[in-house]
Amino acid sequence: MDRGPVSRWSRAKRPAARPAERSRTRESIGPIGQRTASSRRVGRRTAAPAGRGVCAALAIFFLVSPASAHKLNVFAVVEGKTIRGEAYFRGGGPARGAAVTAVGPRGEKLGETTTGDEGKFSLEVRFRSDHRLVVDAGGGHAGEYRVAADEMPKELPAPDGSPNLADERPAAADSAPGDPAPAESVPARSDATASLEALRVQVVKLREDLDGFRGEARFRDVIGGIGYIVGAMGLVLYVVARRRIRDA
Amino acid sequence: MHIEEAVLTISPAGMAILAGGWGLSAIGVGLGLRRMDYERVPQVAMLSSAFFVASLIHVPLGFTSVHLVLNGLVGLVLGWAAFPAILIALLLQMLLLGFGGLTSLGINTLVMALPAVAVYGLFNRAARAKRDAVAFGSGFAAGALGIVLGAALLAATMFAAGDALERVAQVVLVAHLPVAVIEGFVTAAAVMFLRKVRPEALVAPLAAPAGLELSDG
Repeated sequence: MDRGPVSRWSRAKRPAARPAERSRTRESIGPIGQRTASSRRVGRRTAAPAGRGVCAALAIFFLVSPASAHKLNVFAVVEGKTIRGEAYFRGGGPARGAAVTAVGPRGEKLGETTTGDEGKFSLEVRFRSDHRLVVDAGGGHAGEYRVAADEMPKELPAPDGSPNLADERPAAADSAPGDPAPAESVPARSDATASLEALRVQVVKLREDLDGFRGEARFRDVIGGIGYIVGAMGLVLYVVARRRIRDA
Repeated sequence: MHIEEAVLTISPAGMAILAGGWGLSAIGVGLGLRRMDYERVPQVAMLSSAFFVASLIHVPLGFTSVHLVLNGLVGLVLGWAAFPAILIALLLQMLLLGFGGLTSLGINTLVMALPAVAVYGLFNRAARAKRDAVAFGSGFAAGALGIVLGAALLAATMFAAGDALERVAQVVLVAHLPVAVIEGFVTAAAVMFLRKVRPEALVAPLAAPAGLELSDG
């Protein structure tokens, strides 16, 4: 594994090495002046393809949209006994026809539906428990959102026993069993629903803004990521170098 | 090409896939580290960085978008060392950019690194051919095949997790065809560039004893 003596030997005994090897050995052990000279020569010789490569890279950068329409965002609220939500890709497009699955705290399936043309979906709540809404748009694109049990009306039964998906009771029958806690007064309800809808629109907007902000913060992340990789490289090289010094 | 963890954590089959992905990736990473010539650590890091950044280059495509992956290029140059390179890049993409997830890191590494190793076996020799046309063609094929094989693995994973077959085929395979073409050109350009500037970069990184690796360049 010890390369040092080998390459020094090759430089001394074989001056007519192949160009690639020569330039590399000089880069590795030659004085600084020589190294810059050789790399400049390499640069000039390959100026045309390098320029073409840079142009291609620039073209790709300008062709593509900066926004990542890749990440799937899910948002949902509970209205009465219905979970209403929507799923949209970061960048704005709705996720049409995506499969929505509600999963309970113990991994049991609580309900299934698909999103409509505008990426909206609604799901009847049958049990008062945490709902994890997983939206799968296919091809590995998915997002999830958690609806807490305390957002749901108290008259719903807790998920005792094993909740069964085949158990398709109509939502209206749900209030009968369990504890018959009186619902809120009926006239106040429509008002509340209207303001809830307005609130929902605002929250969705806020989330979109937040996503936009995250997108902007990305440049720093990229630089940071490359820094981490360089750091990991340094760590590996340090360990290898130590081992070699110890072995020598 | 990143699988979000939400897709697989809701079904037992998905859980099995996640575990299997981790196991197989661990084997691949172990092989890659064992066979990696430590003179090439900087190269591995550079390609890992390229892979990390490439996923941010998005190409809009209808309602969704696809992005460059560069697993063909990474594999063509690194061979088995593509496994550790891709694992690190995916880990950072997860932590910093929110792609994929921690549990699906294993299966994602497998889906992208396995085609990379296949590409190495198929095209590394051809990419070092004397004729430029052959090298360009093999570079293109390497880039395109890296994506196509990756998409096929992704589709197989989604199918095994319970997605309907025609939906998987439509969303995964068709969506990746344009990116396969783009990636073919990018990889071919990179190969031509490497041939001119650093031909030794394309020489087998595995099983090549130090000092002898230039002998068949």
